[in-house]
Amino acid sequence: MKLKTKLPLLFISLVCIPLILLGAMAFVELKSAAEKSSATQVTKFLEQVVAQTDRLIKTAQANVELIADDSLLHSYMLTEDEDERYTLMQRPLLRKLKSIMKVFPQYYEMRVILPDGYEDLRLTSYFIANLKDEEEASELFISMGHDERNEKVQFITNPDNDKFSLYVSKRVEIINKAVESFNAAPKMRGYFVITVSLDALNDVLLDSPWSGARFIITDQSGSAVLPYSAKSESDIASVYKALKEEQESPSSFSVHELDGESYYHTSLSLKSGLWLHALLPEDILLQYSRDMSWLVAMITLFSVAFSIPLLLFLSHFQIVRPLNKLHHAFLRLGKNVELIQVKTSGDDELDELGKEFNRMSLKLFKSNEKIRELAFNDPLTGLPNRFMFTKHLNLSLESAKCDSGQLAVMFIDLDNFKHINDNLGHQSGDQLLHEIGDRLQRNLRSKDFCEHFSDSDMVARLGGDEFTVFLGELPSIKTAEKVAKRILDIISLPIVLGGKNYYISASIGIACYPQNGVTTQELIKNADIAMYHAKKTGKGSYQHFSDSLSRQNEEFSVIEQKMHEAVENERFELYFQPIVDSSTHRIVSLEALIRWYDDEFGFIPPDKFIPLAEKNGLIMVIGDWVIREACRQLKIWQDRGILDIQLAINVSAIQLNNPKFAQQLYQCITESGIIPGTLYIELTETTIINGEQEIFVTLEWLRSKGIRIALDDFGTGYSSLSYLRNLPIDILKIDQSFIRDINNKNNNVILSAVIVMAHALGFKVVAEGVEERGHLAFLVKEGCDLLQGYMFSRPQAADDITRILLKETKEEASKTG
Amino acid sequence: MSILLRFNLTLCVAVSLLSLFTQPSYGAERTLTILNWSEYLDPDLVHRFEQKYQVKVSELYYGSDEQRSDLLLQNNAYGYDLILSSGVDLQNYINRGWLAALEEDKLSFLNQLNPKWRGAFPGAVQYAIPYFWGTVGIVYRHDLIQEPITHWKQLYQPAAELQGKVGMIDEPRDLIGMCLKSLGYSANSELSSQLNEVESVLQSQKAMVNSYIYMTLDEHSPIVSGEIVASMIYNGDALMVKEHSENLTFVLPEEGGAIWVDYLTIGAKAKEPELAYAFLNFINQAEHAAQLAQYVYYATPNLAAEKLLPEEFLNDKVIYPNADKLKNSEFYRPLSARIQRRRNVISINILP
Repeated sequence: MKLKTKLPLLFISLVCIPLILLGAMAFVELKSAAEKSSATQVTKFLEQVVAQTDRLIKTAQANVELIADDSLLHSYMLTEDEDERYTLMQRPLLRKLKSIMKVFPQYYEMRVILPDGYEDLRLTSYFIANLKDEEEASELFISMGHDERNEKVQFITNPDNDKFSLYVSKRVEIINKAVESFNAAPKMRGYFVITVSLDALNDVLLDSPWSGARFIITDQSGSAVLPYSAKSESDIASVYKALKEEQESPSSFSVHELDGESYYHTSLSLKSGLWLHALLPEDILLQYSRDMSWLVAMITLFSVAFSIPLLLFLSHFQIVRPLNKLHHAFLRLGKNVELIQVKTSGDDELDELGKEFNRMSLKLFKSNEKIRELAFNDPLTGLPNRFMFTKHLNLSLESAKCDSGQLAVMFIDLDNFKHINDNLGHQSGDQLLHEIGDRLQRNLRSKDFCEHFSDSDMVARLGGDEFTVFLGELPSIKTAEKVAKRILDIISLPIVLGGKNYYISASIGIACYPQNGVTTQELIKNADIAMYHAKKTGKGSYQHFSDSLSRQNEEFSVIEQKMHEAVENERFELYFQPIVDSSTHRIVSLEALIRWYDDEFGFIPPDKFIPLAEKNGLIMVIGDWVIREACRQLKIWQDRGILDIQLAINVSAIQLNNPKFAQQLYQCITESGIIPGTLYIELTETTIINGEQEIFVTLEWLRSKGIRIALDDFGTGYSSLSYLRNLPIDILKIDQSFIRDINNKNNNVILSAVIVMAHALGFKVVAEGVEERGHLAFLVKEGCDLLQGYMFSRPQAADDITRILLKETKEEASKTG
Repeated sequence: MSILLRFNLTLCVAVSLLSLFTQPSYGAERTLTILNWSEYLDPDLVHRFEQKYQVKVSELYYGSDEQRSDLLLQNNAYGYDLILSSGVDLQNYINRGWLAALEEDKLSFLNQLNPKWRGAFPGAVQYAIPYFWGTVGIVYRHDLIQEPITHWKQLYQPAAELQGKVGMIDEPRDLIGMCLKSLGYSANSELSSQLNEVESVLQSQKAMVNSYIYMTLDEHSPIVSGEIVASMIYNGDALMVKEHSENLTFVLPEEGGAIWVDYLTIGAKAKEPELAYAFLNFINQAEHAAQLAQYVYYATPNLAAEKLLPEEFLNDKVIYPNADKLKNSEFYRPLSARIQRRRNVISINILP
């Protein structure tokens, strides 16, 4: 059985059975209690009436006592002279009595009766015209006369208004101090009487809480005197007569048949032979208990009827539903990667469970997030990584294909990153990358960056110092260019590293869909090619991918393929360009230059295939070949007696960075058997400057083994003169571009300065590209040591060079010899 | 005859009584104690008397004849040097032993008094000096009612325009006496049947009466404000209240009114009887008596003083009504005990 069914069944049986039992017990108990309480209430009511009557009497007695002791009344009653009494004293007394009557409105008559029965004074709260003067024979006076008691309380029907009233009287006994001694017995001077209205009692009897019940006061004769109206009811007059006989056992209930109806009867004794009776129709007495039990039955029924749906409702909403919710949450948690939380509002166990679930779910979700982030983001910059970028690009391409949209991929490469990284450390390098990533992200995401803004735009870091930018929904290629320009601008802003400003530039390649490629791979590759081109044409610029680039690229790939064959088949050849002494014009050294002749493409220049080789790593093989070939050729020359010629070979940065390079070079020289010190290497400025710190160690080692170092193409790179000072080099080769423009501006001044300085540092100076007589004259004049150029000789094959060298050797021999 | 000012009389009496009993302990200064209506003695004269004899005059006030009797009853007239009493009460006070018989050789002015007033009430000649005399009549707002009032009947059985705006005096003699007059009987009637008539008239008038309390006479008086438009009043008081409104007319009704005389008496238990004689002599000097009359607007029984009064005062018909007007007026006479008792019941039932 499910909890959904089990719980309500349990609750209902637990609640309803006791409820019904309780109801049944309450029903029985309440019924008898109600009957009892009805009887008690009636008795209470009767006692209350009795108490009220007593109070009425007591208050009246107290007041009579007070007035009878009043000095004004005394002097009034002691005044024998009637003239004085009525003219002088009666009005003040009347006033006083009237003020008392105002306070106690139930005292509706006050009298002074003289001992002989003459009513000396009467004050009434109602107006009675033409009162009798004498009242000698009144019922009141007679009863007072016969009673020896000082005070008297009587219930008599007042003949003046025919109302049953209370009469309280007091004999006024005073000593007349004016004429009698203080010890004389007080003489009775008259009576003071007040009549108390029983209207209040009448109202209480008529206004009982039981409609249909009768409350009646009977006198000694058994006739009803109160309420006033009872007197005229002759129909139950016989009842009171009958009741009178039973007055011996008061306060207990008895049942009487009256006029065909059953009455409960009880009575209580009042003052002066008066009895207070209660007559309640049986119906009324039982009605109450009947109502009570009916109510209990109804309440029980209603509570059962009400509690069942309530319990169902409660168990559903408090237990079953939260459980179901948790169950579903667990199911979803198993399926999905989204954050699952259940609502909890209370603090019961289920809510605790829900909260615990939420905590667990949140943790799970966070770990998932972290994993995803690590998988899809670059941890250094926080930018999407290559995986993410390609995925994004894939998706964007899908949709672009559908709605024939245009989009662009940019490939960004920092130009001098390696330099910064080497000089300031990896930490600064990381900082730099982070900053660049930030700048790109910030600016690409801001609307005012450029007109283009799309939600699908993305910046990613592919690795190293390579960033990519994706631009979606591109209106035109021009827009991509604008973005590229802005990126260049923001990258060129100074970057603070270790408290100093550094300047950096980038090269950007742009490839657009669909013009420059339709697949993700194509676009990224072409953007890379365009970037490479941009780097070549001048750093800090951007370049569109174009068909020519594409062709060039294709050509490169063919060349690359050919190069592999060429390496394998050793299809390269070394050519040599002589370097002459500036004063003697004799050849003192040669620069070995690689030549590659392909059957299909013909002559392929080194500036076309060397960078390619550097990229694909073939440079190592080619470099090795150059060294071996140069050594072999030099050996041949030396064997033929040409001993004073030196040979220079070009070494690429890639080669130099190989830690085994120096060792191999030295071994090769040794093994070839050439005269030590006749082979030297040429390096470009950037090779040294951009290289690792270890390069300096390598170079120093080579020099120690007698292998001299020449700095090639001086003037194209940094050309930092101060830097030059620390370089472990022996020869400085001034780039041909310098020589060619020797007459331009201040080049000659700079040139002479460079020569002077190089000499000062102990370097030999070689001028490259010397083609004219003018150049020659200037250079000689400035003291340049060695000259190289077409003016003296083009690079020539080994055989031709051998002939020249032999000829020169002979000339020399003949000169000396 | 009476000037009931708007202040708490009971309090006033209580305070005065206190001063009365604490007086002897002061010792040095002698005090003359007078039981009197308020505003019934010129303060200027009192001051001059005090200066002349180097004594203090202490006045105790009452608000009605009944209150005066009540005060005297409370301590049997102990400590009052001079008691101002209405003529009709004199005999009772004498019987009660509250008044001292006059020693005529101590009074220098008796020959100046009009004998008519000296002997107007039983016992007056031996025990009392007439102070002022006057009448009781009706004052009304001639601007607020259509029909000028000329008869008592118009007050006792008022027309619609007067209902709820009638003022009466809680003085049984005046209340019942003038009612008898309005029915054409004597103010001193002893016939039960006539009193029965009076009782029913008064009972039916009750609902139309604004107040039984004697009106104040200052600018806040209900007759000045119009709350009351016609009221029973003593003639001199009418003149006093007229100072605050031009729209008042006093009339001595056609049926005639009551002529009252107030007397000064010397208390039987007086502390300063000699000073009392001195005071009587002082205020009865002709010029003093004339000043007093003009202060209270009542007619003086002192003939020497009358000579000094201005024509204007003497010709005022309110103070000195024409003889034909007075022809129907009566002095109140002592009544039989049973009738007095009957009157008491009638009047007490009228009061709220």
